[in-house]
Amino acid sequence: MIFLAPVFLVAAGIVAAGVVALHFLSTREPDTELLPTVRFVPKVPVQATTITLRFSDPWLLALRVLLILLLGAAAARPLIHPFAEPVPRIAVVDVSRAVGSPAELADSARGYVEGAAAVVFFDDEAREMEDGAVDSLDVFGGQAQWDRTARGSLSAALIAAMRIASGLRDGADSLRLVVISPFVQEERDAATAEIRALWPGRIDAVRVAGAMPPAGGTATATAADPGPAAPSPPRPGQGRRVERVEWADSGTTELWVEREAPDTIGAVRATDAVMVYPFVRRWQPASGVGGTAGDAKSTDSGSETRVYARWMDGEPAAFEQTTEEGCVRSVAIPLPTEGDAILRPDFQRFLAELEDPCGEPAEMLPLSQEFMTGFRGDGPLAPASQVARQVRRVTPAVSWILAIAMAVALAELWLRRRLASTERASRATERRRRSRAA
Amino acid sequence: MNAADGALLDAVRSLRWPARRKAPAGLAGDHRSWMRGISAEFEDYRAYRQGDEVSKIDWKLLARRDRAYIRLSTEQTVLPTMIVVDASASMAYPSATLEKWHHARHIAIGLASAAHNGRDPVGIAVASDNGGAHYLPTRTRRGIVHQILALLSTVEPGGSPLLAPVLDTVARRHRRARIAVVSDFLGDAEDLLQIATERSAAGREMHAVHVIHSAEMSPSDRPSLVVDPEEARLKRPITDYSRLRYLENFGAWREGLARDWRMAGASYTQVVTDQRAAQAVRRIVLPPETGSRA
Repeated sequence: MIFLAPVFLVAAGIVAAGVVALHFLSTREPDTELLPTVRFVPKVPVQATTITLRFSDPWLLALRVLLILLLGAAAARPLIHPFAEPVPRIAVVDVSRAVGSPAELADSARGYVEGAAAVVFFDDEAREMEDGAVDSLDVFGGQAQWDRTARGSLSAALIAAMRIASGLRDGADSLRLVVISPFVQEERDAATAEIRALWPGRIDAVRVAGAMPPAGGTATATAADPGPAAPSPPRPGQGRRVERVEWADSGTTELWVEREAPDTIGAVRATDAVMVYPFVRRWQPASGVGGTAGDAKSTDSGSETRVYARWMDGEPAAFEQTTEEGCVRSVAIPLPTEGDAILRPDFQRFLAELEDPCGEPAEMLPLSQEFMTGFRGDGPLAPASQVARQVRRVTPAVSWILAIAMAVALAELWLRRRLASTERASRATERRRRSRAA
Repeated sequence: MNAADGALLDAVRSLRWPARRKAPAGLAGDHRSWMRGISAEFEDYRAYRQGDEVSKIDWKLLARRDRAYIRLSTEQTVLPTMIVVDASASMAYPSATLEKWHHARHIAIGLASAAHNGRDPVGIAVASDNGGAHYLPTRTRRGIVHQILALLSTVEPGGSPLLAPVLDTVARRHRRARIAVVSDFLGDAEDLLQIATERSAAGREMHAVHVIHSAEMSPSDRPSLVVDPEEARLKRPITDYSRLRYLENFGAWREGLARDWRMAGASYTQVVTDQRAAQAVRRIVLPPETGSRA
């Protein structure tokens, strides 16, 4: 148990000491005698305070001190940690669309999930599984086809794992983090590497089969990691080369019509490349052409047209139309004519993206060996002392302590009344005894 | 009857309780009556007035003086005596010995005996919360004093009975009686005084016997907390300061009580428990010029 505000505990100790001192001061009524003419005695206080050399009412004193210490302990905000393992394990399981085989995922993850101090399932969000993680894996194992569509996020998974680790650090020597995932490109974002750097130890990365790697992909597998599962049949044109790039300004494409009133727009995005420039937008998609990002629209000829790039307001800026041998990209983005925009890296990256293979962005490709090496790390497990401590404002212990304090207060009241009645009875007995003696 | 009661009766055996004012007409007794009659004891002459009985004219005097005079004589009558005793909790003091109550009881017995010795009818009424009604009407017969003694022996003082209603009832039932109130006057003293004033103005002989315990006159010097036996909530400490103030207050109250009763035409006698009961009875029954007064 630790106390977030131990000063209250110290203050309670001081107050308790004061109460103990007060119990040396015995305030009592003097001996009582009957006097019929008492009405002629002037009214003055009827209690006398004496300092005794022994504790008066020890049980009452004990209850009062206990009550004060309990209140102080409650105010000190104690944290009670459950029995801690020396090396608690945090299992992070990928349940995103990147998983190729749910059965393999279940088989691989079960060994790490069982006995884990905490289990996190993640896709585009991470959830700590309080219980039922193994049952969920059993369900996954019984599924013939993986029906999940959410994109995975390693960053979200790592953040959730670190938050859980903060609660497990006390009482632990080290923390082991195990990530079970296909580790594909789409699960990585710009912050992943920096978030990974916040984890102060190595990560056990367990790679499982990914979904639908592109033809000719560069998936790699180490001896320790299972390789990607057998690829699913690619969609038409998936991964093929770009036959040509058509520009709307050339007038060779029917996908665009001229805008009645050209306007300006500040940026355009194609896959991961974003270019910021005051573009003059003179073209708009022809009627019947368009759709949401990533969604393909089939035509009668069997070709598919999908949005390849969009303006910042969501309007399509480029299409990708499949052909028998590959695909044709139709671009309605005017080339910058002023300034140094065409020399900037973002424009160069944008041009390079136009040469990428056809189809969905190659984000199902396994993460590179270089990234995985950095992701795993080569150091020891994360020392618990280097994991940030979790701060909780209120803990269940406070309510329990307050409940006990209330019970003690009631006991103090009951004992005080009982002592008072006992004292009255003893005084009456003493009075009778003295009367008989007289 | 215990030894103390017997000693008391022996001590007051020869004591009489003469009336302090002329008594109403009644049976023949030892007390002078308002009425003037034809008894043998000559008192005075009065000039004959029209309407007087001719038979009462002193014919010898008429022969010597040549004027008609009526011979007057004093009637002697009995004076019924009722004793009203306070048996409230304040009289049960100290609680162990009940010395104050026993002293009041002895005084009541002594007064009854003194009255009975003069052949006066005597009765008693006790105001008590314990044991129901304690009442004996006035009787002249032998043994009435012992009945009174036996009745008082059955009384246990306690509670907070009102004495004034008892006194009022006694005064209404016994219209000719002399009434002695034996009490510490710590209850309804004002009501008692009012009734006594009314009855005294009507020609009745009223006596107030104020019984005080010696510890009430001079409480212990030891610091203590004193409690009213009739009202437990009334607690006051006895210290040097409060004891001094108590003596002042109590003395002033006693003086005021005595003054009020005497101004009402009643007799007031203060009796302290450290005095012998027989001596206290003697002070009460003897006229002021022969007995010492408080």
